[in-house]
Amino acid sequence: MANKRKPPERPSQDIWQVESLRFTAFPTPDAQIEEPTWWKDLIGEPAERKVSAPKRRILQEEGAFSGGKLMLSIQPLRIDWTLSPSPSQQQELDALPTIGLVSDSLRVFSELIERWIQSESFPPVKRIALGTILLHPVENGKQGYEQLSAYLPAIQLDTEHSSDFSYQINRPRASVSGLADLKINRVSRWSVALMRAGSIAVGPQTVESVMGREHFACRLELDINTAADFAGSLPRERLPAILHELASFGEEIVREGDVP
Amino acid sequence: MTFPSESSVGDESRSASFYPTLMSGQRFWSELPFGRRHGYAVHVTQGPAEEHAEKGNMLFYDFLVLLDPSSGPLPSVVTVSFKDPTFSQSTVSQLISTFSWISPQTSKSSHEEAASATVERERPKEIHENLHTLLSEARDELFEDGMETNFSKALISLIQCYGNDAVEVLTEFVVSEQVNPEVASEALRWIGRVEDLSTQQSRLWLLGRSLFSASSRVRDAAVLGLASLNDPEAVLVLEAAIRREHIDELRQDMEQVLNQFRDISGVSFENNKKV
Repeated sequence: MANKRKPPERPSQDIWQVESLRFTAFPTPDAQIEEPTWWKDLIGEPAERKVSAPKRRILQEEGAFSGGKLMLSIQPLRIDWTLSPSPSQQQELDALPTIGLVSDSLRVFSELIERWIQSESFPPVKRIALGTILLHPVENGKQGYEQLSAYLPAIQLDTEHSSDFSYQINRPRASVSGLADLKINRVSRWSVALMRAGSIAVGPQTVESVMGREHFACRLELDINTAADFAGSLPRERLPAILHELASFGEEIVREGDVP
Repeated sequence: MTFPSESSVGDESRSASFYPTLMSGQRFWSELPFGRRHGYAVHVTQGPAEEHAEKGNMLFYDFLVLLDPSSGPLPSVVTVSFKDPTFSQSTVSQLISTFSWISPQTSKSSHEEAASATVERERPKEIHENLHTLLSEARDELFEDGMETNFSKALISLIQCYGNDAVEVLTEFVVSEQVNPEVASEALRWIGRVEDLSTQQSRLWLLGRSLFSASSRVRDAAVLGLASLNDPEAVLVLEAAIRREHIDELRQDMEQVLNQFRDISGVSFENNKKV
């Protein structure tokens, strides 16, 4: 009988670093969003940058937040809050461009979002989503695949002779937030990324690109969202519970891997 | 990172302010699945319009650089010379023409998104262009209620071809109210008649949103479109629109459609649930 090699143990969830966090709200058709002051209300000061196109119902604001760069993007069909590495975090040549450990970053971001969804001016929404991209540094591609195997029990991955592996799955579950008909999509995408830092220097007559060293990382992209087929708007008083549920589902995947 | 989608009618509104920009001297990160061809994707960051106007030297173009596998490992330094001293779109064109292995792509197009995913997708650029042309040319067409036109046929064909992407681009055109109200109205009347479950939700959203348009003509067309769509999920948005509608005749039309939905046997809404 062939010896089946035991996959490596799953490490603590805090081995995962956050490349970006996103919260998306999809307004209902009757939502009236006129010159919102959400940024100032939540952050306490005006944004560092603001781009507005009132005719197109588009507004973008950004500024520093919790060591990273926070962006608010408002469009007719969706409203996104995104936390990503600050310019200084991106300048690091020898570290991955991340904003911190998953538990810390998710807590800070969720607190911000919770204050927003509880605010008076929060519009009626049909759907919400919590998304993140996580990185777990590894030595090389093979080690990355071995590490991923620990999170993907349904997959038999030939770590020696494979490349370009990418696994995406949705494991929907019924919500336990008290809304009987609400389904939560738990979309995860697993891969190993090869990353390099670089810079572009622009002179009067040349463009020079300088590349840094290679970094390998397990990459986990999560998109935990309420299903699109929910009828009507999500009840305002249930939103905090649903947000907690989305975060909790995300943390479970980070901890347990791809489980039904 | 996400790229804001193009969402306007005119070329002039495709301003640099909504394009991601890469500034000189700025560091970027590449990120590709391990094992793919040697190369790097430029992760660009967004710069505000005012900076662009002041400095005039920002690159507002995103591209993915792919090296031919036969060319060996990625060199640590790549230098590209160009003739144009102004750093602009033409610089990028020269960059691309100088090195044939550089192919312009967006970093989002390399992924196939799940149907249940919510990340903002890059829509095929031709949708915007086709729709822009279609809506502009339709201004010269004469519309008669219920009669097919070149416009209606092309619009339905676009939706059948591109699905939700086409409806979402149409939504951006209509919501920004840069479309001739007569043309927007014709579009709304027809999208209610499309028989396609996969775009039902997005068409319902656009029709519902149009009930609140500043144009009474557009609101009227939205009511007709919803009547054709015949989806009881429109009950809540219709109720909200009725509360806001100040034209009696339009309000009565809305109430009539609302009753149509309520009459659909066994369907009512309580606590946001179909009963």
